[in-house]
Amino acid sequence: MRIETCWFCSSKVYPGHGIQYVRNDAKIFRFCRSKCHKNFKMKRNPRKVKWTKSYRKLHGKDMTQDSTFEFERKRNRPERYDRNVAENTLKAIKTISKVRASRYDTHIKKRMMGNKRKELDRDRKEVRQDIDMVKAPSAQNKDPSFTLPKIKIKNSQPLEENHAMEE
Amino acid sequence: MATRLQFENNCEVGVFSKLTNAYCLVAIGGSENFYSTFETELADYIPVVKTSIAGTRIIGRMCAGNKNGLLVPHTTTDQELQHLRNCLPDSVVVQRIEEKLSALGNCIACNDYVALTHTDLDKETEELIADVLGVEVFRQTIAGNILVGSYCAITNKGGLVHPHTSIEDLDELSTLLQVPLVAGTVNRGSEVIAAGLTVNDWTAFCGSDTTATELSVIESVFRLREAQPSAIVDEMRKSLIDSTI
Amino acid sequence: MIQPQTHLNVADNSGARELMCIRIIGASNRRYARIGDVIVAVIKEAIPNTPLERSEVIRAVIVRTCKELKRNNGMIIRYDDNAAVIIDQEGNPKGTRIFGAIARELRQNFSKIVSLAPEVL
Repeated sequence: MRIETCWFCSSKVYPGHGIQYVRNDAKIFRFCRSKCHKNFKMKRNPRKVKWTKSYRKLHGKDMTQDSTFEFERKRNRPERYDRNVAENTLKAIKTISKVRASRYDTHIKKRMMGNKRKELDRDRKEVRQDIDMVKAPSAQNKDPSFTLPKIKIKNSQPLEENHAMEE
Repeated sequence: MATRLQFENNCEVGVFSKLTNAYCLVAIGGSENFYSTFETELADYIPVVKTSIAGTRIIGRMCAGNKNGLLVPHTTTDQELQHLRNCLPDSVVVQRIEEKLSALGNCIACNDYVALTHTDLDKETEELIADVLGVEVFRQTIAGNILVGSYCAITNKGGLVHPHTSIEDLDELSTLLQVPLVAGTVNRGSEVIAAGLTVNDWTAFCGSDTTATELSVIESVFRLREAQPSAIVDEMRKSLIDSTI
Repeated sequence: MIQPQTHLNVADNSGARELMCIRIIGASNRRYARIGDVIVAVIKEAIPNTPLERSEVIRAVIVRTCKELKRNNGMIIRYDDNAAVIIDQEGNPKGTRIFGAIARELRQNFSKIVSLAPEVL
């Protein structure tokens, strides 16, 4: 049996799972589970729902263009069965999936590259703004020497790290 | 010759079988009797293949084809497609069509040169029909009915159409198809021609309700009496050689 | 799940527009009908100047239901509306055209309906 893809979240629908909905113009919508079916009934657009594959593709979260996707296609004109060809295909499937996984990894890595720096920036900003939470401003005024150096150290350390990374 | 038969006490044999000049498809899981009737008539000349389409036995209504190719609807499973590919000769192209109207047998009527189609068929489907079956495609109606595949049966020799077809329509259709046409019925007055009858250039199978008069009309219009499979194969070969040269 | 008092659309060109189920054929006191079952229905709305009239009692076979239909292969399928095709006592359709998708469960006894349908799912 064929493993279909869900209309809403584009995940796999194995035989016996999910539900099919046939609109009056005979268009078939397949859903992998009741979650997707319910979302469809609420008339949600899968492109605007963050957990779906189509949202992730649309917003550059996932790999979209890759030659490995070309192999997985619905073929409408079949070839005559040949044992050797079938054997080779089975072998190729393994290597192709391996290639795809590695490419996916590099894609994710590339996408996550700027994240560390962003996090540091965010942390630094938080410390600068919300220093009052650690010590009341009036107390700081009274005894500036007590707290500020500590914070300065905290601030300066990440800065140095950043420079190192850039170099 | 035309043969009368039944499929599980049902006279609509055209629903459960598909007959062309290069192959014959029969519904799987039927009684052996139905299958063997086809086998005795055809086994010497063309392959008789037992199959299902989209898990159903109504293969005659689901698929359309001629000696060049076979079109199956998008509901066909991969296994069935592969099975058809393996059983049919290499010269026959098997193609699955992504078309909303999944009952292709009801929407397409064809012989080896011309196809009549449902008026609402997609543009891409029309191109595919022309490409796979090697035919000229005309969007037509028969006696005001858009389901052309249901209401007529055509071969390279002749055609039987819905009894209410007007003379003008008959003329127009026969000029399109380049074969003589006759308005008639099968299965004791049933007007759904293709459901009760399946036919190719040298033989026909019709439902067991068909009367002698209907049978004689069928035999005369499809010119089954003088037809011999070997002669037709020779003729086909000649035309093939001509075209290749 | 079609029961008496259920309103159904008509999926053919027989002239009726809307039906109401009044009885299910099969067993005595049968509760619900599904795809492929025959019901007795009354015509609630009809197109004028056609052979069928309002408040006429006819038989019909159900071709689409909103309630999910479970197939043997585990597939669950659901349609947009409840719809039926009007038939005579022998099971032949009254109309000459069928609209919309038809479930393949009809094929055993209603091959005539199947051979009139543009879409079989």
